[in-house]
Amino acid sequence: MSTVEFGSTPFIGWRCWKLMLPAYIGDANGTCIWEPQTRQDAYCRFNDRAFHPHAAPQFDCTCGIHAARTLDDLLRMGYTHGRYAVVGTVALWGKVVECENGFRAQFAYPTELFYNFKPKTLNNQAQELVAADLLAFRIGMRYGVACTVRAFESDQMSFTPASPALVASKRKTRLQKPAVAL
Amino acid sequence: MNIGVPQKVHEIVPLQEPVPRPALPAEPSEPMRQPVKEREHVDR
Repeated sequence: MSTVEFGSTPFIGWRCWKLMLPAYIGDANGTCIWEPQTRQDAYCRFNDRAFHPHAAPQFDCTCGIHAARTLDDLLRMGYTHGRYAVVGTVALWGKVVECENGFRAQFAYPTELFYNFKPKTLNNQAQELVAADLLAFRIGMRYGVACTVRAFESDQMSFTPASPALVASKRKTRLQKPAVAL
Repeated sequence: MNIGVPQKVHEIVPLQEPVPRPALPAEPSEPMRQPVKEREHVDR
């Protein structure tokens, strides 16, 4: 067990959430909703089994609210764009266990959110983008943090702003794909 | 989430919790005036 360091500035980590309709964010497993404008408290699920009950996070357990150190770390762990609708930064405070690639914290609250825009259809992408923008606005209003629409590139480790021009260019490249000769 | 081996423990006590305060309810506008009931005319 290492020594405890004291501070007053919360850590900032990266997380991803599932979108819970109408405009909530939920755990990556989709098991619980993060309450808007309420801090998220950690608990150890092993406590339910009366197995060494302890307050989360404990140094030698895996409990606590997890967050990656950077976005690259998050993506490297396999939390890629296609699996989660919302990605963003989260403030971590209380007891925080600093790990190699991230943190386990006692308390957390999102600080900035990005709604991952993935057009579902080819024809109505502009309307979908407007709907995504509206949804991001609603999430941001509900949680009291900035929430913007972003588009992940499937094979890149970074993301770029989604704009109508980007959507139009994607559409164009799709249409220009040569047909495969059988 | 595999964040690796734990290295250090911190105790962070922020001066103010980074949780946005719930928006205050909008100030009530001027109270709706109740329509004045017409007094019944009473002959005295």
